[in-house]
Amino acid sequence: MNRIYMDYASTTPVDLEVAKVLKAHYEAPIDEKHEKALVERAKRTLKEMLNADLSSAIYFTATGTEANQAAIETLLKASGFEDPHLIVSSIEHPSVLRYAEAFEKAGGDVSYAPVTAEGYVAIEALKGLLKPTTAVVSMMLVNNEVGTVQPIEAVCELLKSRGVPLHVDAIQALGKIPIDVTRLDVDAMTFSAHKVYAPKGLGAIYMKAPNTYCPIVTPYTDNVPYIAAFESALMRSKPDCRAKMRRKKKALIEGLVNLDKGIRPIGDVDGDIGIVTFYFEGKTSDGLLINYDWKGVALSAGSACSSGAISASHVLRAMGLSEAEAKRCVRFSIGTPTTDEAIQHVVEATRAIMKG
Amino acid sequence: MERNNRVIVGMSGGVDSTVAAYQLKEMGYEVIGVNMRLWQDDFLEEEHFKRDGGCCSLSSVEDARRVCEKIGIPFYALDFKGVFKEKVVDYFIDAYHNAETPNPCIACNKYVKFEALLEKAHELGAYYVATGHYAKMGFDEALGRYVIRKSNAVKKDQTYALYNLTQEQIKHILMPLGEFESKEDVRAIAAKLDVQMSRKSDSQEICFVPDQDYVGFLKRNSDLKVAGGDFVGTDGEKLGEHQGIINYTIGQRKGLGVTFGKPMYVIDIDKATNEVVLGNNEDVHSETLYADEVNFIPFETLEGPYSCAAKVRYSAKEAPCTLYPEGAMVKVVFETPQRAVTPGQAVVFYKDDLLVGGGTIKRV
Repeated sequence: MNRIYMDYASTTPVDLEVAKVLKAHYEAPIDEKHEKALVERAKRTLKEMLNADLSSAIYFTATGTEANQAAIETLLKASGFEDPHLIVSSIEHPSVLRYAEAFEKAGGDVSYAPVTAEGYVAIEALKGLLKPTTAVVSMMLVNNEVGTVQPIEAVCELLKSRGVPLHVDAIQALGKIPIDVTRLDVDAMTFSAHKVYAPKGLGAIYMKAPNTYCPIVTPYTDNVPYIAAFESALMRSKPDCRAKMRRKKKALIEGLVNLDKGIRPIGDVDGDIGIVTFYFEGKTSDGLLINYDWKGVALSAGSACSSGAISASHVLRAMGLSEAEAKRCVRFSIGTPTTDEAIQHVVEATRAIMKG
Repeated sequence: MERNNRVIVGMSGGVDSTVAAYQLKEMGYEVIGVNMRLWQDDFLEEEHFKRDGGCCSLSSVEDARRVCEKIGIPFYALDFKGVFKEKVVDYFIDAYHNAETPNPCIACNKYVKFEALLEKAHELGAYYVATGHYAKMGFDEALGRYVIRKSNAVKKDQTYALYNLTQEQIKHILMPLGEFESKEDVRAIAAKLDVQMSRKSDSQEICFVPDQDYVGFLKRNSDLKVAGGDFVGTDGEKLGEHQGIINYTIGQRKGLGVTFGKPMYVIDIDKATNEVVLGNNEDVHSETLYADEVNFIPFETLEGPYSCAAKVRYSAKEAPCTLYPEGAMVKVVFETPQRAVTPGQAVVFYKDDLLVGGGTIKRV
């Protein structure tokens, strides 16, 4: 039986055309001048895709986690405040939350912006958290568990009026929805290659101010083959897939809900981000994951902790679910290669699992 | 649920659970290994790091995963931290609040290892759960009941902490190590399997208190106030000052911090007056005790006097006694007085190799 992969928000398979680019790089002799040119070209491709000013800076990092942490740290330091205040939303990726917690533990000033029951950052509450010393607000564009597209425009508007820099974690958004950093006027944005059908092991930071010293990433040797693969993947990403993705997501949601077994979607239900979390009445996240595994379906339930056991998702908790409710939830994420048949298979697998 | 061959084995990555899983696989069961995540805090991780692992450490997940790969069975890590906190850690803290000495392993077996794990097993379509405990589980035709008998490896026997299991639970539990004659035999199989075991010592007394400093644990994890008070004699006369009642347990002689010119033992802890009562060797022995939350295995309820043997703590020797029903409690009368009978600890009953049941010691 072919296994069905429905965990694209965790990682995506490398596009075979992208793999060819990678292979060609490993086979060619090293040509440093050519490599430098390739890196610059990839930066330009990314800037164009983001509609960024060409005077802005792109830094490559080893991972998305590193990109997020370096971007926040850079903006904190650039603020010049003696005791800079950091605001992160309560549904950020663990890479951001762990950074905030470590910063707090070391005596730093941190606030966590709450979200609505639907999984959107509450603008009014965010407004109330701002201080004269707020150095950075860090917020994701697309949530990795419930697929909500955050109201970044409204956040930008609020922050610009107060002169507060914004970092946007766009790791789940890149390649899925159009991003315009100039219109949004964000100060830093971060990306990860393995979410867009390129290899694991490459992150990227966009910095509006080109001379901001990025302390963590500056001394790197560029991972040229991955950068070229990332660029290739970006050029292959098709924004016209959004209608298809919306249709597939709808099919999955309707398929599971129509089983009439107490399954309900949480978060974004009618958008075009292929991420949706479901609540399963009478089941548990880890039991479901194992049962799906046995039925040939690979899924993820919230954020797996370092041990590989499933803890209640902090995103769902922030949206007001109780610990017990959050532990009845599982995330599904579909990607460009997901077929209608795969969705039907998952619906049938779910029917069998819910039967007992 | 319908009986089937699927069994969920609780794996710590250690010798016992590894061999248990291997034996079941050899017997033809469909074996699935799981590691139960029970408790995690920075202190614990640090201690485990210093002490080469332990059953709660993160490294135990990786050990278990590796072992399952080697045996050729699927492996999953499962989160039981919520139920463990509620039923084991909170109970542990509450017991000290009540000036009792808790036995968290018994609570863990009852609520977590068997109740919660069995629920999960059923969700995964498995009829059985299994562990690497040294005990024998089976159905006794003559009694018409599921029973637990002592392990053949007498020195390793772990039935003491299993007295609380219900008929429904025992029905679904397999403990293949119960038939082994010694730990050496178990080790021999592990050696044959050629899985690298970390230099792990046998599970410690309290897995979430790796340094055995339970007072430190209580200070870190509860709002328990540790106020000093008086040591008093059996006649109420003040003998000295103590460091807070949670530091003491019945029968304790060492570490009182005061010398009296003759051996003195803790014979009672009075929560109301915050006093620790000291007495001589004779005072620390009791002929009678009352236990509540009693469970019997070969029969449902105690109808009249019942002669058997009992242990008043894990390390105590079995002693002949008679049980008497006493309302919801059981009165235990020993032939010879028992040392350091401690409220909060379990008294466990045996008839030869049969585990009769047990309860929580309420008072002497």
